[in-house]
Amino acid sequence: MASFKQIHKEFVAALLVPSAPIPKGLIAVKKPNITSRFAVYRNNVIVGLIAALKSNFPICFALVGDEFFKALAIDFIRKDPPTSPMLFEYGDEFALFISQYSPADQLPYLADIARLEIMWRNAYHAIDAKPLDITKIQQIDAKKHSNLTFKTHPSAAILTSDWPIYSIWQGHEDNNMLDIDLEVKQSILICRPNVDVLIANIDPAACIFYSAIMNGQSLGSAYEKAIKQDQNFDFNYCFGQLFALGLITDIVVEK
Amino acid sequence: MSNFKLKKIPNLAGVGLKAQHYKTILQETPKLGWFEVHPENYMGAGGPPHKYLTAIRELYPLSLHGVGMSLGGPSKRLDPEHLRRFKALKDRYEPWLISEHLAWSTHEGKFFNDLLPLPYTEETLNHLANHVDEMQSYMGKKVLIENPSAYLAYESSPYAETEFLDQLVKRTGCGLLLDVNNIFVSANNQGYDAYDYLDAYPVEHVEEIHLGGHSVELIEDDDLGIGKLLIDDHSSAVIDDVWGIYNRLIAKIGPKPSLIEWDGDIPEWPTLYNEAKIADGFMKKHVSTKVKS
Repeated sequence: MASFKQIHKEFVAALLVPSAPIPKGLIAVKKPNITSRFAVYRNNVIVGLIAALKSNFPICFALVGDEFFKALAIDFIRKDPPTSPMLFEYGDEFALFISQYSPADQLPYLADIARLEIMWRNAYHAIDAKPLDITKIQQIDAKKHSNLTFKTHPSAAILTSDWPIYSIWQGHEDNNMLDIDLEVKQSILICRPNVDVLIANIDPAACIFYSAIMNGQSLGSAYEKAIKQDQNFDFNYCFGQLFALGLITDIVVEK
Repeated sequence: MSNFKLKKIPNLAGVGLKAQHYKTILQETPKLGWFEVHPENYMGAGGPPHKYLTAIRELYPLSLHGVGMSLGGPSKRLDPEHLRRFKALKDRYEPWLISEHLAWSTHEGKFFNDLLPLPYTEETLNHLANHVDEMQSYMGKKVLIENPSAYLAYESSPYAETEFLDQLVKRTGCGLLLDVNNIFVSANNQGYDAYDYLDAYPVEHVEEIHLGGHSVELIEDDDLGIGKLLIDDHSSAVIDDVWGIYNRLIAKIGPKPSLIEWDGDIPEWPTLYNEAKIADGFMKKHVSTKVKS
């Protein structure tokens, strides 16, 4: 009989490739149909992993439909099977794979939607932190505000895109994918301050502002950068959103 | 210092906890012995899974049933990262029982998300005993090992599965989780009698029982013609034949923590709860049964 290591090696070689020879030494009933029986293992593995991808990328699934998604998922699984049993995080490379997957060329926004779903999932599972109430900043002398820096929520992230990713996400939430203008470019801010993952559609100036805050730059510096991008930058709204979205977990006052 | 008041899992039915039932369970706090979760689903850093599991753990005892340790895998040592994550959950949620499978799922760092079969040889036994020892010593707790459902077996298996499990208990001091549906599925798929398996099984080491549903496919074998191949998919109710094996088991060993597993096509909570109550009904009949010495 083959060695312990060899047994595993032969089994795995046949698992993901339907045309590969079935390992020797397997039995069941007296004269079993080994191929059909081995197919159960093949099927369990592939169906289970397709289900994991479907669960992690529900919008991509809704956009392409069952048949297309299945073909896409199988190709991805063969190339990049999971490396940990934590299947809720399977598919970190799915967006990159989609961007290079020629059958998806007609859906150029699909890869960015996969990126959005990866970020959504990361925010969902991120370490918990308590967001700070906006009243905390009102207790600080207004003269010091422009030098303040912030600790931001571990779940917070920004995704910029050349596609209307916010509208597609919102359309999926509302079950209405019609009337999405594909000419629009959108960026989003994601944060999960408590239970729910929040997604905000942010314009280029707001994107610069939030990025600067998340990179630890001062409130004054973030404002300067944003206003340089767009002189109509709405500071009051974006400042309020920092707290409304639960982005701020601590304020650092320069001594 | 303990985080939770309730610790011990009673000899009653429990249910595999699913995210779609979190809110119902917290609102209705159903009368139920315990819950079980797959630790792999709670290995994220934070977020709603931990929030809900903590709230439910405050109301019920818990069991952690691993599906990803790959105890039968070919590597010398278990994945240290996975051990660490599992132990962190054990410390955080204080489960009364922890369990894993007589199977493998990981090869050279790739996870195949299925419980794959092993030949029951001396070499496998040595290998598995080392892995069970490693897991138990890392966890600081006894681990229960579950019998797999099988569609094929290895020809070179000098040990019967029941004998193999008995040897594993003797070598490692592990306990056993007996999946009654898996007995029925494997017996059908490999042409042996489920009750013969049960009679040969070392029932004195059973500390937990699993009950679940399976589906039926047709298969054409060369000698038997078209027959049934049973697929262990946990996507339906427990069938009467499986309750029959369960009844015989409980008659032998008395009530034990018995879990309803329903992982696919997950029904509304009342359907699952009703399955648990059926299991409790069987246990009530045999409440005074003692293990025969």
